[in-house]
Amino acid sequence: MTDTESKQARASRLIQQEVRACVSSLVSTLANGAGVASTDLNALTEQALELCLPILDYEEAAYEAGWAKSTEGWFWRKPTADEIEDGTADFYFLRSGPFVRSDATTARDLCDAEDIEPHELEIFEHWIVSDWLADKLEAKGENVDREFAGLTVWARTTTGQAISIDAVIESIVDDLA
Amino acid sequence: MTDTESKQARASRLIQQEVHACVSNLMVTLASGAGGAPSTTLNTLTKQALELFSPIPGYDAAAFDAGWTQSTAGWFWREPTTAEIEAGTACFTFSGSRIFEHWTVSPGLADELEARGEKVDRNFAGLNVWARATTGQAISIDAVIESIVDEMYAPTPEPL
Repeated sequence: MTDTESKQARASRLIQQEVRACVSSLVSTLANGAGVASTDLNALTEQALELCLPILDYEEAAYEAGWAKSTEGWFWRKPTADEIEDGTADFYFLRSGPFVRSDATTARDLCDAEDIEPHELEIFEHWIVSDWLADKLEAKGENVDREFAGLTVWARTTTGQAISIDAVIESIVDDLA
Repeated sequence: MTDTESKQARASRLIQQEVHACVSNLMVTLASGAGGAPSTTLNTLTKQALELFSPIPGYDAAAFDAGWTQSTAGWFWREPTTAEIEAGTACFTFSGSRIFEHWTVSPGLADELEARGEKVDRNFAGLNVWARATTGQAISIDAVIESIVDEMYAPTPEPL
């Protein structure tokens, strides 16, 4: 078994154990019915609506705008070889400074300070997951509702592929190694 | 390992694999809004949720309570039991099973549950929802689950 296969096997087992059921249709139905008479149901439809809103990706937006993170804060990065080949390296020459933002702790701080628009990651599916996986997903910036009528629901930003090959799941599996 | 332990282990594995998540709170919330939603689809879903709370008709128990019992020749009028005589119980009561919990289950388990008279909604916003008539005990010791496990692991008859 190669390293890749072994990692995929681990990711598949993790999904089998920690991901319970797909509730995309349920969440969509509830989100479309917001504003109902029953208070409890109304609250639930609003939670559903919240779970359909895009996730704001500050990190990727910051990177694309020319920033990378070190232990000392965010710094103006050099373009990658791919960016130079693609002709998308112009950003590097357009800045006069500052070239380090040690005042920005998070990617969101940096985007706010530098007026960078975060990327919007569309939500495609909703899954019931275990509390353990919810912890891990939240720590990676994923959108999770821990109290959706007693369920823990993860708003997934990918579709059309096995959950076990989602970048966020692979990253969780890497952390477990 | 005794036979009983082995059966329990099988039932627990079946539950772990085929029963996904408890959706009782969700059902209560949806049923509480039945008929009041502006969206047609949500309205339908709230009515489906309400339907999943209606008791399962227990025809066997109801017939027995009403004074009937079954033999290979059909149903016959039975004699009252000693307990019934002592208790002086009236016979003509409804013996439906009340619904206590709701769980999302696999399509395979949904088939088996339906075949045993359990209430299952096969298209509850894309989920298979089982209306469970018991509570306060492990699902693996529900009579209906034990019956499924018994059938799954029943020995194959030897050919003559």
